[in-house]
Amino acid sequence: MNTDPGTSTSSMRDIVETAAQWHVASACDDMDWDGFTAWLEADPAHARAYDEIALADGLIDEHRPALLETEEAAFVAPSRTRVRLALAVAAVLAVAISLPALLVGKETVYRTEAAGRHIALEDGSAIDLAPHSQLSISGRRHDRMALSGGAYFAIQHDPARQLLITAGPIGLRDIGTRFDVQRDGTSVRVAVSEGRLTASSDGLDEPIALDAGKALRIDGETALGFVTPVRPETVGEWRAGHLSYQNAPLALVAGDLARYAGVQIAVPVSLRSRTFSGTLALGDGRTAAHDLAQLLGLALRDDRGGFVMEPAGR
Amino acid sequence: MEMREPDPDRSGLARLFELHRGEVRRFLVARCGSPEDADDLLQDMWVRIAATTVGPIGNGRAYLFRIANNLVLDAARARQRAMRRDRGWVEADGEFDDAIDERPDRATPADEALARKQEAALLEHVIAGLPAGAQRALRLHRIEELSQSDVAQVMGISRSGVEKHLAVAMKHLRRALHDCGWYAPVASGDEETGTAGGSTGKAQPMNRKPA
Repeated sequence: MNTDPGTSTSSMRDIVETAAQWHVASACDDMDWDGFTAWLEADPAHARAYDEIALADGLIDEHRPALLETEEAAFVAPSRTRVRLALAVAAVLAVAISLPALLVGKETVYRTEAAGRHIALEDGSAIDLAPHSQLSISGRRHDRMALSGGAYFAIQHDPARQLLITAGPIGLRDIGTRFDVQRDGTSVRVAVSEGRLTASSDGLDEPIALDAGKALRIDGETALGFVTPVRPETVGEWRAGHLSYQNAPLALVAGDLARYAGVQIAVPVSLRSRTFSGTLALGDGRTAAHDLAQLLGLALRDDRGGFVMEPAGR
Repeated sequence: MEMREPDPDRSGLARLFELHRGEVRRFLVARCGSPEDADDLLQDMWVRIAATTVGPIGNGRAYLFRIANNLVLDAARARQRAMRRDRGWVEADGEFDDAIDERPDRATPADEALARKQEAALLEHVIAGLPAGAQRALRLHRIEELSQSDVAQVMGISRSGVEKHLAVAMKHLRRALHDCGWYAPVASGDEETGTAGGSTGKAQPMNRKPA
C-alpha cells in the first residue's frame, strides 16, 4: 500500500481518505502493520479518523441481517432483477476466466441441489459432491477442480499428474488420498482420512502437509489457518447421514446443517462464538436442529420455515 | 531472537507473542494514544493467547496485530455504544434482549428498537446512495461477506480496484454518520479515560480499574 505518512498539516479529508485505505487493507493478509503503526504515530488525529471509519464499518456487522433482508427484497423486485442477473452472469464468467487460460480444457460443472451426487473419473478417482454444492473440473487431464460447498474426494495418486483443487482461498496439491473439503465463501475445512496432501493459501506462510487424521480450517474472517486432529473414520461421514464436530463454531455447524439437512438455523451474533463438540444425526433436519440446541443448552424458535437459535429460558 | 520459526503447535502463539511483543505494544500505543491503555490491552491479549489451544499456522505476526487492532476497536465500540444509549441511539450487539430490562434508566425497549431501526434505515440510505462501483463492492464484501478477492472476481476488476471502491464506501458512511451526530463527541486521545479491553465477538463487561 502506498500511503503517505500524513502529517498534522494534512487536511482532514486526506487523513480520512488514508484511514479508509488502511481500514480496508487491514482485512487482508498483506496488511503492512509497520506502515500502519508509523502512520498512526505521525499524528494523533490519524487514530481518531481510523476509529471513525472502523466504527462506521462495524455498524454494518450490527445491522447485517436487516441489510440482507433489503437485498433479498431487491432481488425479487422486478426493477432490480436485471442487475442481479447481470451480477450472476458476471460471477459465472469470473469462475470461467479465473482458471489459467493455458490449462483450461473443456470445463465440466457439476451442481447439486437438495441431493448429493457421485462423480466417477476416468482414472478411478471418485468424488461425492455434497448437496447444494458445485464442482467444476477442467484441464486437459481433468487436473483442475474448483469447489464451493462440500465434497469427499477419493483420488488415485498419479505422480505424473499435477492435480490442483481450489476451494476459496486455498489450493490443494500433491494429492493421493481420501479427504473431505467444505467451503463456505472464504472459510474452508479440509480433513484427511487417508494418505496426505499439501494445502497452500495466501494466508499461510508456507504450504502445509496434511496427513491422515489431520484437519485444516481456514477462518474466512481472519484468514487464519488452524490444524487440528480429526478421527479419520469421521471424515466425510455426512455421506452416512451424520456429522461430528470438535470445538466447531456454532455458525459453522449451522452452515453444515443448511447444506446437508436442508434446515435453516439463524445464529445471532451473540452466540456465534459458542462452539459445539459432538455428533449429529442429519435425519430430516428438524431433529438435527433440536439435538444441536439441546446439546448446547439453547432454545430454538420457529421462524419463517427455519429456526432461530437463542439463549434458553427467556 | 533465537526462535526464528515458531512452531505451529499449541505453544506457537505464546512464543509468537513473546517474539513480537515489542512491536505490538508500539502499535497499541500509537493506536490508542496511551501507554497505560496499551499495556492493559497487551495484558488482555496475553490472557486470550494463553487460553488458545491451537496455534495459528498462517501469518502469525499479522494475527497478533489483528487481535490487537480488534481489541482497540472493541473498546472504541463499547464507548460508542454507551454514548449512543445515553443519547437515544441504540446498540444491540445481539445481546440487547438480555440487557434491556436491566437498564430502566435508559431509553425504553420501544425507543431502542425504534432508534435501531433508524440506524439501519440510515445505513440503507447511505449505501443506496453510494456510487455504483463502491455500492456493489460494499454489498458483496460487507453484507454478503465475500472476500475481497472474490469480489474482484465477481466484479471483474483488480483487488486494488476493490479496495478503492471499499474505501470510497467507508468515507461516505463515516461522512453520513458524522453529519447526523452519531459519533461520540469526546474523541481526543488524552480524554479517553474509559478505554478498556474485552474480547472480540463477546460483549464482556469491562473490568478495568477506573482511570
